[in-house]
Amino acid sequence: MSRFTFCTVQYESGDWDSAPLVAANVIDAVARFTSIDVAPSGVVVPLASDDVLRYPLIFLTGHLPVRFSAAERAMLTKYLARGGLLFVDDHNHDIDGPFHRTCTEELARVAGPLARIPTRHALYRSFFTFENGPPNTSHELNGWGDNLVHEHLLGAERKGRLAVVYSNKDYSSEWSFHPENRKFISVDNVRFGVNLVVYALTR
Amino acid sequence: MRSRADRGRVVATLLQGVAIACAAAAAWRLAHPTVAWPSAVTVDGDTIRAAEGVASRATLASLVATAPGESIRVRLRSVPSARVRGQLRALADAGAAIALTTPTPFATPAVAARVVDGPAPMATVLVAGDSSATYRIGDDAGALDSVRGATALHLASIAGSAHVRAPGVHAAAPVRTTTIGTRVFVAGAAGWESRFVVAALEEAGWRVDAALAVAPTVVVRQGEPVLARERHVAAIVLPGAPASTVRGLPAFVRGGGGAVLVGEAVQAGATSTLRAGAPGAVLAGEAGMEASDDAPRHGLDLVPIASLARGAVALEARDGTTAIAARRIGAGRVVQVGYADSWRWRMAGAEGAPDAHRRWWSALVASVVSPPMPVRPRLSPFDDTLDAAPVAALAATLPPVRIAPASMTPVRDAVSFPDASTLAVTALVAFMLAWVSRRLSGLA
Amino acid sequence: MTDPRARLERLASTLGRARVVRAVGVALGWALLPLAVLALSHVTLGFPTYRGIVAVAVVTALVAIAAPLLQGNAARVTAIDAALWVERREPRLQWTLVTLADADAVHDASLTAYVRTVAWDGPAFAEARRRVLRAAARLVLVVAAFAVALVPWRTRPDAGAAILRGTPSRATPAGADSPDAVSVTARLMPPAYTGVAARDVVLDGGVVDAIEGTRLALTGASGASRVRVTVREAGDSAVGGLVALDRDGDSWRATVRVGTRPLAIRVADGVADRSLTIAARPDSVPEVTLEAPAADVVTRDTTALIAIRGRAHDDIGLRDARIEWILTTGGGEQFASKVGVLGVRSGALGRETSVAGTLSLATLGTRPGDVIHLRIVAHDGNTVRGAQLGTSDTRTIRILRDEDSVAVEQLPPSPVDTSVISQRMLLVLTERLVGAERRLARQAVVDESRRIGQLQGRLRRQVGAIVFMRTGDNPSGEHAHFAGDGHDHTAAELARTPAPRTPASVLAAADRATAVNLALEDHGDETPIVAVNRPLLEAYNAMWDATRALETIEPAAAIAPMRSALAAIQRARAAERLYLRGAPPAVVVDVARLRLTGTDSARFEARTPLSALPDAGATLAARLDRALVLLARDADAARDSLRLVRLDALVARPALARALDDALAAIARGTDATGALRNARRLAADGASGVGASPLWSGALP
Repeated sequence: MSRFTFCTVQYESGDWDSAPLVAANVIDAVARFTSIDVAPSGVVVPLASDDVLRYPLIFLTGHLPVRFSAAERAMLTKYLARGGLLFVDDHNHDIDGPFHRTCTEELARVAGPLARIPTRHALYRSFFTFENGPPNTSHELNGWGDNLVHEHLLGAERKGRLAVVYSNKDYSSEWSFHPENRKFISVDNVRFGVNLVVYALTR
Repeated sequence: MRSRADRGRVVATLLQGVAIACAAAAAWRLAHPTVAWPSAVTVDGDTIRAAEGVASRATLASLVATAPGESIRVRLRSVPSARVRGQLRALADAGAAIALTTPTPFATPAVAARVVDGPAPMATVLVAGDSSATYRIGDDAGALDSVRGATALHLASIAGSAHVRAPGVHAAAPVRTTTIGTRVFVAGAAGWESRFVVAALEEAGWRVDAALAVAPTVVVRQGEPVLARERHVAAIVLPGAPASTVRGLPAFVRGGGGAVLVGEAVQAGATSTLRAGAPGAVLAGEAGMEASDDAPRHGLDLVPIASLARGAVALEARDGTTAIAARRIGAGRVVQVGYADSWRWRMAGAEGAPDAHRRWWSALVASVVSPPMPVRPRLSPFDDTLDAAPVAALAATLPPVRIAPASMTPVRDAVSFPDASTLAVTALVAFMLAWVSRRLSGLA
Repeated sequence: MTDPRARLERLASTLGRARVVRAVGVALGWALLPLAVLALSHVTLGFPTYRGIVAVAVVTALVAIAAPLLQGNAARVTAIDAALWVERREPRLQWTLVTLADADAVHDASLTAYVRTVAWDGPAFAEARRRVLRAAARLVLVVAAFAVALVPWRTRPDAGAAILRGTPSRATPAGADSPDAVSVTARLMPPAYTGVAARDVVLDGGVVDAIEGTRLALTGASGASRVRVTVREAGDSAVGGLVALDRDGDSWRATVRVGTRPLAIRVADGVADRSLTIAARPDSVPEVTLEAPAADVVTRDTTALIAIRGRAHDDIGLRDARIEWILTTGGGEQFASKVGVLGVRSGALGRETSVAGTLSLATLGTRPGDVIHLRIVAHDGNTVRGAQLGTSDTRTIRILRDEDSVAVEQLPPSPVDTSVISQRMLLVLTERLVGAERRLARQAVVDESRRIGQLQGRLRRQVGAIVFMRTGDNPSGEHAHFAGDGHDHTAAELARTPAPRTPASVLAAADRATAVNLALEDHGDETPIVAVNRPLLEAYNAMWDATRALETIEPAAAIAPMRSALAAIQRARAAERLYLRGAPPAVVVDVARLRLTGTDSARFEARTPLSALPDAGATLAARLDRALVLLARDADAARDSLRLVRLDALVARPALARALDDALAAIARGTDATGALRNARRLAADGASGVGASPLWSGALP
């Protein structure tokens, strides 16, 4: 009866709305490859609100530092303890930038220290198989003149399943194409978003 | 005229004779103990009265010694205590013919206790008794509850044996434990409900084989997701279950398996023949109620069970409609649940909601599992403290007997021949009195 | 024959012994008489008790034995008594022996000679010895009767009573006051950083609080060979862990360290068991409050001074506190950051401290568009697990750009967003083409370059439409026809078309629009014209350049203008950003149309099961039931079990722990604990009970 709805969380400290088209791209991909009942548009929910508990998969992104308020921290703690899954993507193409430093500190307080998700993890085999772990983005493939490639995602587990998936790979930029234009891309790494959704719905 | 010394000598001699006679009798009594049998006793709880006399400790002690061939009529004025029941059984084992009578009827409770052990252990205490009486139910760890008349009490566990007490009456029964299998089969579409149901069952200790449909030709599997009676004890069917995975469900249930059908899953072909009732239009849940402590399911959307099938039983209602119903089909059981998004209760519920959700789902599945027959616990024949139906059990234990009034031995009010200890002490006293007499009369 | 007087003296002594023995036997006999009466009463009536009879018997026997001995000289037999006794049995002596025995009488040798002629001493001594033996034999008989009368009474009634009662005897446990119990000293030593002094505690089964890192030192001056110290942590299995002892001869020492979970310590020496429960209290993280600024700040003033003030509190003591700030500069996809601290306080700050500072935006070199995050942090002085960090809420200070809006109303979705996305995609495609240009055939490069050029042109026209629409001009003006544009136009067409448009004329129109005196805030439902148009126009121009390069098959030359166009569109988009509780545009996906149109095949692994969770509640409930069953048989052991259940419930079920506190208190007072224990059982069952709902369905639901 209840469909899958892509939820982006709104937090107070930074630019939570930096990637508004991620929801559409993920919904697009889920519709193309699965028969999962998915809502046609995403929703935005304040992280401190009880409404977060209505969406067992939530997405958080931004460029700016992340500092949770006490209410946001409490709600996120409750959310993860009850079985929710938080997907975080650093919208910056950098290493150890302000978003990464602050967000990982906040997540460690809520979910414990983040550890590398091994390439053999079920997340990379939940629908499509990504043999080498998380797919690289076009920034990483083409480069902006740097060699910034984050080879692993980080995560925290609860009761044997991932509760937090943290990405430095800037999927927020990668999945910010208009869905209509994605057909021009030969290998579409938004398929990893399908893995994420199927993992959340079946694990 | 006899002198003082002469009188003292005579008295002393007589007393010495008595002492010697008593000593000899005591020695003979030690070698030949006998029991005096009253022909009729009245039992009132923990007290045995022989005819109209007061029972003595010596009488009670001697009652358990052997004396074959005696007949005793036992009048029960109330439920005999465990100790008295043991004594009567011992008399019967010793060869006495005992007939039970109840001059006036009295109420006696009966109790049975069962524990089904598994991921959702549940203990049940069944009490039968006078509908107007209040019975205190307890176990070896103390009091549990008070109930009126006949009822079934469901508990998480029972310590030791189950007891039922009322003024003057007491019954106790050992617990019969059965252990059920734990492997279940879950089929449904990939979604939040299937995900959280599988998680709840696994967290509770059930072993889950699953088939979750992600696309028409894509099914995420776990274990051996082929429904089989020899492997699974129950099947949980959620909306969107692949048709191929539930094709064998009717035969599975008729063969003794259990099934939990959720929401609109009852509209599918195989499950529609098993449902407890036709589904109605979806009723929205009361906003925010999933966070309440006492009625969290009122906040969930509900596919009501509009009309119950023949033989179906409503187990839970909401807003005038049936939310959960059950039905027996063949050797199996089916529970139809109208809540198709119970996961909201787990995520958004009050403190303890994840545990409550897990327990609820575990109990749902356990309620459709047919437990094997329990093994009757072996009790020592001398363990007379556990009588589930005390008077009936006592009557069943005693061998059948017909006592005609004329064949009964006359009532004897007192013990006819003293026991050895009485005789020995009497001899001692007589001997001492003889010596005193000699001393007082000047005989050295 | 020796001197008759000497012989008489000896005979008197023998007769005296006989008298004493006989007196003792008589006395014991008198004592046995009431004892026999009491015994008869005990056997027939059950009164008095066996112990009472024994007590009476012992007392009377002692009195009876002592009485004749205390008579002293009254029991003594003199020589004259002995002589009289002999004379009565030997008449031939004719009172000569008595005369001889009388010391006052006058003696002559003929008396002595005559006495010696009569053989009186042999028979007299023999008789005297027989008297002694008879008296002794009677005494022995009395004692034997005494013993026989008492001993069987212990066994005869209890044989029947065992059947009737069926209750086992209770062993009396040795108390801690037993002389063999080891004396134990217990001392609690908190960590040094807490500044709390060590204190002695008593192992009386009670509960004491101790902070994490506290050490409990147990010492004893004796019993090292038989003392066992076990410690059990809340949540562990029922088996406790043995603590190693430091032994020095017969003295010993053991140390237990308090962690984060409650501990049950037990000291057993084979005679007494002593226990103590330690409720571990973790060192709390400092609580930090940011008092000023009280809310997020939005300002245009890059020279503002921001006053910062806050407080920190710790349960034990603070080590340092400071204000932390992060300055983030940039926009679009490019950001840079700086971090810093101010208002630093360090040292032994005590439990409470305040922190203050002023943040100068000018000193930081802030520019419009910058964002500053600030908070107060504090560390405590915990040396056990390391200093713990407490943080306040974070305040965000945003420096507005000139074009930024501070409106909070939700604006309609901006079509500019799609432009951003598309331009980014075109940039990627062009970069890929440039990267692959050397490998590809010339025709392939030409085809791809033109294709991208067409897409860039389409996007350019979309951006142009937005710009012209907002500047009030004909949205199709971009493709207006004019003389000399290479197209064949009739005069009538030329007459219908407006004046020719060039990028410069469009920019001029935008400039004219900027002259409109519109306050940024006063634009009603319209977007800020000025703020959007200028960057969009720059993007429009850059797109022209990119299109031209692609159409001339120079994709590498298109990359720079594409990036410029992308940056310009980002600026235009940012100008519409809402800083406070705004909503981004939502794209609605046509799910039905897209359903299962993907061509990639799924390839995945099976799901693996999750592990069952330990049911702490059920374990506690079962242990509580076992303890309650034990309560009827062995109250001391049951109390210990209840304390251990309470220990574990402190972590998993605080309400159950409180209920058990009430029950244990009632048991200790000797009052009825039934209600408290029933409440504890209900809490342990945690609602998993109820009366059956339907008699037709035996499967119960909670």
